[in-house]
Amino acid sequence: MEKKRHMKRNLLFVGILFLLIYLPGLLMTPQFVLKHHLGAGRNAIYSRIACEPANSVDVLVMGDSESYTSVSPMKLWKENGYTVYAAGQPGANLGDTRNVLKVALESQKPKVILLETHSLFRSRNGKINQKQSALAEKLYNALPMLRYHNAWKQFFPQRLHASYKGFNISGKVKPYTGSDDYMNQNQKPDVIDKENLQDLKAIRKVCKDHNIQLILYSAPSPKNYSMTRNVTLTKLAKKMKLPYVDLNMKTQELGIDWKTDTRDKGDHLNISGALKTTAFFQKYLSKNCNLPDHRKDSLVASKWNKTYMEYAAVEEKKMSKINEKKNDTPAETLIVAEKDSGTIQE
Amino acid sequence: MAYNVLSYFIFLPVVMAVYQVTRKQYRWWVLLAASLLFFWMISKELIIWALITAGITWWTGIGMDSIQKKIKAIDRKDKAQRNQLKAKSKKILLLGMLSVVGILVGLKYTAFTLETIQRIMHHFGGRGTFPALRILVPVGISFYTLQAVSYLLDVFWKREQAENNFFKVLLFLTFFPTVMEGPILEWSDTKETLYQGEPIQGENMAHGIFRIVWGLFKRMLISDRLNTAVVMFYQPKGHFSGAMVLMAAIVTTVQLYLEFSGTIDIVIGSARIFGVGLPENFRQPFQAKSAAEFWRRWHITLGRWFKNYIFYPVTTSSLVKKWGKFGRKNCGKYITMVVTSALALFPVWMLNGLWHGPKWPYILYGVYYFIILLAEVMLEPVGKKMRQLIHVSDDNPWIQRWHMVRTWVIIITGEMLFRANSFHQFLTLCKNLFKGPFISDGMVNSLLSLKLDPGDWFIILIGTVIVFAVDALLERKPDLFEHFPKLPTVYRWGIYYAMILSIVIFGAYGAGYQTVDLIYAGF
Repeated sequence: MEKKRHMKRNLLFVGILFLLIYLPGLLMTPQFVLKHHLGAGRNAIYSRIACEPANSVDVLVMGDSESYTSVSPMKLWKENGYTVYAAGQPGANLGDTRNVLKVALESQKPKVILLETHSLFRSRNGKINQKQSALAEKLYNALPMLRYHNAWKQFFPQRLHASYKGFNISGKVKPYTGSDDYMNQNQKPDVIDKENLQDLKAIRKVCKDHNIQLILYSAPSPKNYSMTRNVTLTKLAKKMKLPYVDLNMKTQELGIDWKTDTRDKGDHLNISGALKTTAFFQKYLSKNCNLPDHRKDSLVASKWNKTYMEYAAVEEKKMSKINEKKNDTPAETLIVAEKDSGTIQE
Repeated sequence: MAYNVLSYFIFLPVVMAVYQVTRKQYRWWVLLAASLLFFWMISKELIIWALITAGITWWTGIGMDSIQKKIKAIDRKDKAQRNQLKAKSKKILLLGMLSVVGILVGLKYTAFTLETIQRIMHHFGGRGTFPALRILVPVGISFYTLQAVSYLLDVFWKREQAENNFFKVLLFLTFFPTVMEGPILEWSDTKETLYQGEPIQGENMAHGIFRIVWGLFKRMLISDRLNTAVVMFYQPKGHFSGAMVLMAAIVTTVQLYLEFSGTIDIVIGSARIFGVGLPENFRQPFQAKSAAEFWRRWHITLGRWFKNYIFYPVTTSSLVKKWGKFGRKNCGKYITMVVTSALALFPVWMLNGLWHGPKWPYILYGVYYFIILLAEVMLEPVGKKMRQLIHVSDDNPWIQRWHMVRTWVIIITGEMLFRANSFHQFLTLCKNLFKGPFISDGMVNSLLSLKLDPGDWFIILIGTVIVFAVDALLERKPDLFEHFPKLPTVYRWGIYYAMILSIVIFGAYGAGYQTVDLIYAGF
């Protein structure tokens, strides 16, 4: 009798606790989260991508911060009429990217995925951690309050940054002062964790099932790439029968100037560098992928043009600041600080 | 697997369920199986070292016990035979202790020793090099080895009877809640409860879960959140100065305290659910009025181990006794007392530093506390005289506060040395404390550059205030937590919900945060 009473009380306790955690989650629809800026940092991508009109995105740029700082969707819209979304996540490993892709495919039917490769080299700390992340992900999906538990941070001063279809526009300049021949001089570990490989295979399978063209690319970054990594990635791409473009091998062709084109000493590109890599993808996508030009589709164009106008103004402001400094200051000491927009940090 | 990750909170309820449905006399086997599984999940085949240590400990205990029984059976007058057997018992003890300590030293300190020898050789112009060694060490080896040594000495000193069942000794050494971060047990701590098979019920369950939630509160709101800042403070290229260095020292201390004491709360709570009461490892350490008192309140079971198995044996050794006699005759009471303290404290603090790991900052951390504690012994009469001169009693509240603040300075300086990557980095940080303006214009930006935003700092501040307020209450009412299960349901549930929801909402987990490894599990 006593045991039964205890059991009932324990169940009641757990039931109330479940409701306390579950009920607020019902409010947290992607639209609600986006409207009230509740998705901070790495969570932001889930609500952002879920809020894009269904089936409106043809290209997803995925990976970690190297992805959303190297391809400008708005520029591709302007020049080619492609609807591109930068769906990268700060500090993402391939498991994270797989989760984002899963959410994206719930509302989108992309034709191409550009997958930046730096996340392949992130450590995963073994199988147990991977299983825990998968379990945590399931919990977050069931109880959105857990995923967006940091929403309270909105009551504190935040560095809000404008995102143009996921692209992180930065006008900051902190030059990379190392060798231009960094690919041959860098010594970077080129081991790819088993778990990342498994996730890459899973992403490839999802792409095959959804008839998506998967393209691997490495963004220019002296801090993160080397010839050994290039060799590893080339071999991997060949083995998996995937196209691979290493932009670190094309920095001269792209015209990358490490004195002006990086925001953090060669880790990420700023807007000046991103425009150069985006110019490469304008040609690459039109040559290798059969993507529709949506500029004549009035319904899509009206919305994307509106965002482009806002983007163009910010881009112009940031570029003119960079160019101004570039002309005024000896290159070695060129550092442009940026106050008006924060950066997503890994 | 660790105590602060999701998988532990699946593992624990599964063990609880299996334990509860098992018959009382077999329940401790469930705990043993769970402990071996837990160990295996972290250290895989390195579990063999724990099994070997347990085997040696059990065998040595049995060996000494059988000799002691023989000694008892011999007539007291037959001194020669008794002494012969006593010597044999001592030999068995030494063999056992050398073996278990040898495993620890061999696995943990070989690489460091070779590296140090090589450095010395190079310093004197030698050229030889040893091959770089990377030896894998099983989890908790420093903890269970100390437990094995304490068990052996307790049996040798006849404080405890040797355990005949090998598996019970194995469970004592590898009990899953304690194996990663302690507390360091003595056989007497759990011999009554660990094998009792108490059912999981009311008060134990309520108390256990409360301690687990309290531990998670400390870890997930504060220490895990502070981890990123601590990592950045001690980056090789760190360039902090003035108040930021002070901030680094305080943040390091708070993080270490809440990480370790939070984990111990989870550990004590987990064991309590199975009816196993573990000794406390912390007792409001920041209320201490001296470094010596601090060490009676911080990592209590390590201090207890050093006191029982190093400090006392050294102070009662013939060498120290001889010195005492000689000193009192020739050098006066004060000098004798200081030298005796130095003789007893030196091995304690050298071993304390070394126990934390084969790294110079840890060894210097031991040296640091040896110097501080010896200075406290030396200066105590001076302080007393000064207080007499100004007519202030020892328990004057202002004197007490001054002693507390003085102890805080000692503690945070020590923790900075403990956390620094090298002694050179520690010295640089100390120098930088006095470099440039103490509070610079960019201090707020510097704080935000540690990858913590204003919201994070706010939660850290509020959380720390709550923890220290509870510490102050515990200081006044040490059995405060014991009253928790007796509270009316409405209050008890209210406290549970408030704590769990604050962890769910304000905890440092999920996107943007990384699971932080247990610091003391690395020792």
